[in-house]
Amino acid sequence: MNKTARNDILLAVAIALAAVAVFLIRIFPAAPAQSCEVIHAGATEAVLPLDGNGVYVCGSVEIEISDGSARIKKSGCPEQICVKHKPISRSGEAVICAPEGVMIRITGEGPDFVQ
Amino acid sequence: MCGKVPLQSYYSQTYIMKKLLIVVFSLMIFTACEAVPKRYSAAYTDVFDTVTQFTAYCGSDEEFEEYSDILHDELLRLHEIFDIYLTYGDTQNACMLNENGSLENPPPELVELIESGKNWYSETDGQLNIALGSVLSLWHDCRENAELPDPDMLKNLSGHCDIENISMDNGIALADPEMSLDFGALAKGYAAEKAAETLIGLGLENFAISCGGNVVTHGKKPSGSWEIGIENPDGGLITSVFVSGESVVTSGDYQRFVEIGGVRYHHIIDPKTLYPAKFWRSVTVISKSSAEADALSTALFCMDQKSGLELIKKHSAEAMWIDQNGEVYRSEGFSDYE
Repeated sequence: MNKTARNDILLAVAIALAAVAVFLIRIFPAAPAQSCEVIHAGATEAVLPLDGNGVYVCGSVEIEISDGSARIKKSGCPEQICVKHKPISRSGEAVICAPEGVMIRITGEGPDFVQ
Repeated sequence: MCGKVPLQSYYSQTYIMKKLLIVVFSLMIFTACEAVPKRYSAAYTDVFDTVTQFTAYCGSDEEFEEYSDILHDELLRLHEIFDIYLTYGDTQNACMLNENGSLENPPPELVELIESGKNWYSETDGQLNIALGSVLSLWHDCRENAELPDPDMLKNLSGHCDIENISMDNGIALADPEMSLDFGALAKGYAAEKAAETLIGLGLENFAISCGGNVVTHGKKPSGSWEIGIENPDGGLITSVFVSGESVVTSGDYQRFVEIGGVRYHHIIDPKTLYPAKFWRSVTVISKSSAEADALSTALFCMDQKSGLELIKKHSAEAMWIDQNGEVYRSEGFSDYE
């Protein structure tokens, strides 16, 4: 086999491997890092990485991200059920403040839903 | 520099090149042209007083939004029909039925749910009773105020829970003016199933709906089945089940409760004792039907394992029980889903 033909084959193999890689990435996209999605009135208002720390304010609701988990720290709702809920950290977990129309839920690698 | 290539070798290189080019172009066309469905999620906080999450694989943002709007509208419609707390204009609903004692032209979904409730009552020997509304209402108010109900009042109200007093002959009528209906054990599962049927009818192939923990699945994710994590009542996940086309529902004492004097009082009331059921910490049911899974999980939570096994066998369902000591029991086919 001459050098030109060998290089042609190598180039073709490289292109084939790249195409396969692109195909696999599209079929099995990398799982995103865990995040806390804040939904207000049915629409996503923010996506907060769980590996950060801080407080996000959504109306009267304060959402705290700390130590890899999220919780509703404060709310103007009357019964404070959401505030009493334990922090959430696993994909599929969610906390709702129904009176304020706010929900936080964990997305990323892990179960689709938790019950 | 050109070299002389033997004829046999030349043909073999050409053959290889042709094959490789076919592969390369096929893959390029495949990756460039095929619309790989993307994962989308939405959540609603205004139906059935709980969190509803919708996840689906769709070809575009517009396609998903269209399905999401249809699902939301359908759940809202059913929520208004089964709501026992509020009325909605002229809509004849459960609240109106409880307040007025009758409905002349009830929506077919309400008639179907009540008929289903009557069937579950006879199948569970009364352990699932939609006529327990007055007792459940008292418990609900007491949980809100973190106080225990008066035992005499409970006993008095339990005299107004006879399911035979629901008449379906001409519309719906409650013969006992003190009785009220509660669909907490049935409505979410039924509504999720109806809404899922609507989406399937419109051609959506791969999706999951979690209506307050009542999970309905249809089709699969690109990576395989849907994964549903089951909580350990004491924290963490005890297991995950992998389903495609089945529904998964868990009833647990850790989901809605109040602590009074260091004792936990949860929301699933045993119709025989009129107090929170003490058989199990949690019961998970896997069934082809979301409505059945919802009803079965509540019913199994209020009965011993032998009775529960008989019931799920009849409905071709599977179950997992966690008792007060944290011991886990599974029906024969449950582990097939783990």
